[in-house]
Amino acid sequence: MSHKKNNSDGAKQPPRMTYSLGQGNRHHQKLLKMMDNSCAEPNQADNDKKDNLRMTMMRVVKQHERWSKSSTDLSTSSSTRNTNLGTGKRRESQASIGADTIGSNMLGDENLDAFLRLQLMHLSVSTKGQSELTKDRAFQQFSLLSVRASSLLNEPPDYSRNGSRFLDPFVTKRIDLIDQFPKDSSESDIDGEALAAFCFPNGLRIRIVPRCAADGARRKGWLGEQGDMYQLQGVSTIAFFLYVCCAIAIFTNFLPSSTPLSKFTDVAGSLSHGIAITVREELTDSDASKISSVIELQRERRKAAVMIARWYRIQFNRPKRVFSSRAFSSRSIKRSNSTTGRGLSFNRKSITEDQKVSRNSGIGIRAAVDKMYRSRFKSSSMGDLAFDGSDTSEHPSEVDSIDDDDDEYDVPVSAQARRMGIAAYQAMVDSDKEGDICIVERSYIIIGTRLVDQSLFFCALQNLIDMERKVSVLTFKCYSVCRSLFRLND
Amino acid sequence: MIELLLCFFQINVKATKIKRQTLLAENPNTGIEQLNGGTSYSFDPENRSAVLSTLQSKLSLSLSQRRVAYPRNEVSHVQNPQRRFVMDLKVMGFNSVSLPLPLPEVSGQYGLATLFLGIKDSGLVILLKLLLLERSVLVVGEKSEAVTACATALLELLDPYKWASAFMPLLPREMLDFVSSPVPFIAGMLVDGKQDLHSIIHDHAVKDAMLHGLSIVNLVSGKLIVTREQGTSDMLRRSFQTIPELALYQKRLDSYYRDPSSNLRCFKSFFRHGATLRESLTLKKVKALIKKHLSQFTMGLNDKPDAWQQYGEFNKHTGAFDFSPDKFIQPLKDRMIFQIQFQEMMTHTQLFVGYVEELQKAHEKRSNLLSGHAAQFIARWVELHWTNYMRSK
Repeated sequence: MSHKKNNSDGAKQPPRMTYSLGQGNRHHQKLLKMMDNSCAEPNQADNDKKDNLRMTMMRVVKQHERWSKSSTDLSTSSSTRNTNLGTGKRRESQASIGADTIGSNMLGDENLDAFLRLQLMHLSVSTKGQSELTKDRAFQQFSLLSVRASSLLNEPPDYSRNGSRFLDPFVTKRIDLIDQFPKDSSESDIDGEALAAFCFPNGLRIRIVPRCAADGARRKGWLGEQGDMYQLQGVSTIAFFLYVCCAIAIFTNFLPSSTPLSKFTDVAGSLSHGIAITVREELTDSDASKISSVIELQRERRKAAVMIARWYRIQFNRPKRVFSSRAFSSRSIKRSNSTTGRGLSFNRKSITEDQKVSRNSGIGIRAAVDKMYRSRFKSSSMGDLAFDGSDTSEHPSEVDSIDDDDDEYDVPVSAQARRMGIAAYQAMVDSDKEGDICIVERSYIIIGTRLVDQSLFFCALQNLIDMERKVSVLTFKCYSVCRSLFRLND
Repeated sequence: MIELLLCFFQINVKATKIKRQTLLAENPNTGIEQLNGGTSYSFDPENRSAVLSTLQSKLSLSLSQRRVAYPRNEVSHVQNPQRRFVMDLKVMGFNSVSLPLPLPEVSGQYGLATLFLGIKDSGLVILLKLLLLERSVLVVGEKSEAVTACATALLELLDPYKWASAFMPLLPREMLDFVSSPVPFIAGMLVDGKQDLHSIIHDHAVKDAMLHGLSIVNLVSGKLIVTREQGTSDMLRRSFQTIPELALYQKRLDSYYRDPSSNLRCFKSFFRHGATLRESLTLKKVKALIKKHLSQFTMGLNDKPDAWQQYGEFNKHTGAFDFSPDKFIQPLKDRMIFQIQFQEMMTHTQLFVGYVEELQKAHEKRSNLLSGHAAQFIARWVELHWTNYMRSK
């Protein structure tokens, strides 16, 4: 990389970089420095980090090799590959090494997978931009990405990583190519997986919302036009790929450290542009109800997980509160024990010894929850129990206790309030019967456009989306009316 | 109730029939299958393909339309009526595409305006200087359109230079460790609220990367967090020169942006209608000013068409021209040294000392005037009238 020349006097000149066509020689130096450091001071943590980096780079090259094999025309047109890694032999051996490494170490690493997808996208788009930018076409490729019902049914989103609140969306990394244009995918077309990394950088969101709350969801931008998201895509990473390849070559000792990297910069980076509009639409698939039930199940699980987490947090923090609180001094415990007999204590501070034992004996969360409910019912009817002198160990039924309460606190309710209450309850029941809607994200992508034409394609793509929305709404209305009519006839 | 439903059904079926007839007339092979008993009521992919096919072949500007540019004269830029590009595909209810010419520039206008109003003029200049030094930049914001447009705008603003490293308009959150990359990059990242932003900025990897050249453009609160790399931030701070015109343009653009009808406020209306003529003129001037400012760093290279030959030599072995930075920098250094020497000698002359004395006298005179009777009289008069004016208001 650095040429150390001796002048006529024999004195050493400072190393001079060759800036023939390249930019960023500072980074070449940085990479070499990294390598030198790794040779000089072998540190376990550093080595692990570098191994990780090296393996990632190998995967990039391996995938790139595979991809470039499928499009041989492109490999000849792109100077990136001509300059980087020398002879084909060397490249083959690299690929094989990369394959071994992936097999042993790298599988299952989601971050690196995502990283790889991004890089693949970069590489494929940049080379595509070089080779396929034809003047007779306004754009090169259209893709529609979303998730298929079958994918969701086979692999429901993980509930443990998706929010904690009831209406929080679920995120899935399983993204399908729903539609593409042109239909006959050429060799150089970008696969859906690579596109997904760009359009759904944080995964695809699926949200279940009660149908009666659809208007509210629209206002919040969870559904419909308000929730449209726009993205510009531009890719110029040939230089990045060069660095990656150089680094691989150095790390894997295919190239000696003194190899002039300036050779690899003989590349003209090209920039290819694209646009994407991500919309949030109601899933109207025939399997929508199945998906809703699957997501609902996940939501129940999440709810349970949150409850357990909360309970655990309370338990975890409890000793501090117990010992720091004055309420748990010996005097207060005595007082609380004395009040238990009169049925006036139902909070945690005044639990009986049996309850204490059962709570600490680790019967389980269900027991704890049962106990909580029991104590609640007891509390609601404790006045009666105390005054009747009946056995406190006998727990009255739920209905009884509520009735008792009603008798005790019999507040006259006006007819108007009753009517409103009934109407509200009926509305609640009716809206519950309507069920839920499943909102999924869909991304409309056009790639291979010119930078100056981006507003034109945004406009056209938005019109296409609006048109689809209109048709969908119209057909949905007809369908629902037909369905209701058939029901009436039946 | 049933009558109402039937009425509604009739209207809908009528509308659907018309729609269907139109669809079938346009493309006899396709149709809405869903009405014939299917349970899915989404858009037919075949129709989409037909629209896309038409778009692919027809949606482009003619050569004459591409040549349309804003007039050079500022008055005619603002006053002349804009031409429009209109295309009606007449397929399946697809709305016509109508846009002003020249086409609205998503990154060059919307992205620049967002960036310029966010990090202000001084922030933008520092950011561009960081990019000229090939330091990494992470753009974070809540809206994907703003983040991607700003990231792309940075590429354009580097003109006449071209970004030669990694560019990722949107980086997944789980790949935040990418900021430690030794290769410089421009990347965007979406955040979900201020808490999320806080977690990104205080992430260990980000903090570490900031010590090695990473800077963050925070579009949420409109801040530029400059790298803490040793030497770089200090150098930029000390060598910083404000561009007064840029500050004025920023104020002007800010006043346009405050107008509720401004298309710069909403991305959807921007790409449908573009910026107003006054906004586009201001943004054009900003771009020209920045380009002029950045071009000064390669002044010697642009003096003559073949000036670049002076700063390198032809390598016979490789058959390529090798650029030598020393040859470019050394004359600049010499010029600066001689400039300083000249100024040092000049400061010791009687002429210079006399000039300083004059400045001193002028200052004293001004101070005397400001504290004199006349100045106090004028001040009282202005105060009285101002108070009266404010009371009447």
